[in-house]
Amino acid sequence: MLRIFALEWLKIKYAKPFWIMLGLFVLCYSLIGLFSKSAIDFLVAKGPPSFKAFLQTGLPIFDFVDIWQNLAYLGSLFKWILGFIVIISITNEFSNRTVRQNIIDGLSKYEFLKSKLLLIATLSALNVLLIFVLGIVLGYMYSPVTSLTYVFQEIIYLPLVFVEIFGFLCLAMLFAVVIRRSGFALVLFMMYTLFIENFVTAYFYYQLDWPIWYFPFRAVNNLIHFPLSKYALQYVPTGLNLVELGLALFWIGSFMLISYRVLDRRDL
Amino acid sequence: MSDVLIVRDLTKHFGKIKAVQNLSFELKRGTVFGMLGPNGSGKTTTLAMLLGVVRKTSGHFDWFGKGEHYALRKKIGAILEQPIFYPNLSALQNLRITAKIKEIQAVPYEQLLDTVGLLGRHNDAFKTYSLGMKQRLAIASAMLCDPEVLIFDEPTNGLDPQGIADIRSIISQIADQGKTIILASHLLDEVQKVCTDFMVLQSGTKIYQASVQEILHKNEKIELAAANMSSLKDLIEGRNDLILTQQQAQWFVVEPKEKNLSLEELNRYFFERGITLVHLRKVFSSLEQEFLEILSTNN
Repeated sequence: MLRIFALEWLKIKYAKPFWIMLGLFVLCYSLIGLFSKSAIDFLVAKGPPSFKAFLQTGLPIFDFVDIWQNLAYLGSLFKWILGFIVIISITNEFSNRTVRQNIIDGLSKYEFLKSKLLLIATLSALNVLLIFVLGIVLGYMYSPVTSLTYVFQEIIYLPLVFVEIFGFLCLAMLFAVVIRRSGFALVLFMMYTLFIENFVTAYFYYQLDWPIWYFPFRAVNNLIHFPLSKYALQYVPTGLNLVELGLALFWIGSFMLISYRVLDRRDL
Repeated sequence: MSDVLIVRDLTKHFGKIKAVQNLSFELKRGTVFGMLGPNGSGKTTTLAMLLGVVRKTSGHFDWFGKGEHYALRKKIGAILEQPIFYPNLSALQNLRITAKIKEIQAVPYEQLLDTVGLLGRHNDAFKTYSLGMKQRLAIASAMLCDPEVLIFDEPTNGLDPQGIADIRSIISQIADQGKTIILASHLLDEVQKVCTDFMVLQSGTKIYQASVQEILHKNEKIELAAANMSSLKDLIEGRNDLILTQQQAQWFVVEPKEKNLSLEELNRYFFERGITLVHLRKVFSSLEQEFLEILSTNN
């Protein structure tokens, strides 16, 4: 395990694009955290009177208890950057044929996939760590309540973020392993996660009245629900839903299994 | 256990194309085994199956008497087709990756880079290397684990004459250390110079296997010339153990029916009959002639 991790580390340690993209991710995530509060404050101060009346005190998005879900949701846009990192790191191995040489040198295909899964797990953990640090900083800056019971009350969102990002990146890995060409894999991955699945599920939902929550991207992407509508006094499910978690885990397992089967059966 | 590798009925079909068919051979420890064959004869596909990157259709093989397990490849140093490395990483960084995969703890990187003449450029990115340097890095990488078997596939492909000479001398040095080597090539001259044994593949089938010595001595010929060529010819035709195969301007070429005919005896024979030879030489056929003959008899 450690050897496989060290191997992946040797590959990314000097890869400039990797570090640039990772830096971009951390920067964007931090900025949106810092920026959203100011944006709301700005709207309250300078916005239309109705808005002002509605949001007398601004949205409490960085108050403890809520903050974890809000931060997790706000940053989820940037997980595509992590997805690109994963796709590029895998497709490069195919286009440079280094995966072939790795296998010749004595790595198994299973170990190769494991090294990429370790990269994915590390990126997911990094995402969680980032939310934790931002949450603590922003929370103590803005939250009226800071007693520890509140601070950690909904900390369950951190492991949920881990599962969500991990699953999302496993889907990216599947696209990379199946398609193998960087550009093509990137575009198709974007298309699928942003449009294709939405169109398909819309059809099934509106035309055929099917339940749609079990489609793969939706299943892994839906662990953290859109939180902001609760400020318009709508019901937002919070916390852990075991059925949703189980479904997400099922898909994550499938992504890994299919990736392995494809890689194992293919001539490199 | 003198067989490093045993291959039995190895077969690979790409759709309808039969790339390798029922190939069987053994690799004895310490031999330098040449895989000869025209382009597309299945050499690389065979090696790719033995190295786990191409799935075999049927048949089996056995490395070191231990089977096909991927970890056995850690004791094999192999380059297939072009040298493959991470283009943005340096020679040293690339070798570290190989060492990590092969689980080698202490690697004498400097010494290794020195052997292949890359010390000094070892911190530059791989993509800045010339083809010759890339090949030499590939050889360093193959030798990294102090392998029991080395596999080279067309190692001199695309190199300039100096590069070819360098690579061949490195391979010969490795062979002198008693390592087992598989050398796939379509260059007969290359196989003749470094190999001890060889087989010939054509359209994925083995059509010939022998030791290099054996085949080179198979067709022994003798060149003869004297001042009086016509009386020489009469004398040659008078001996029923010699066949006159060619009459060239300067000398006759004869083929002895029995091998190891001594030149000394032959010289004495003509001298005693009044002919003084001005030219007498034993010649061995080149692998190239034999190879073309083998291919043509199989067509």
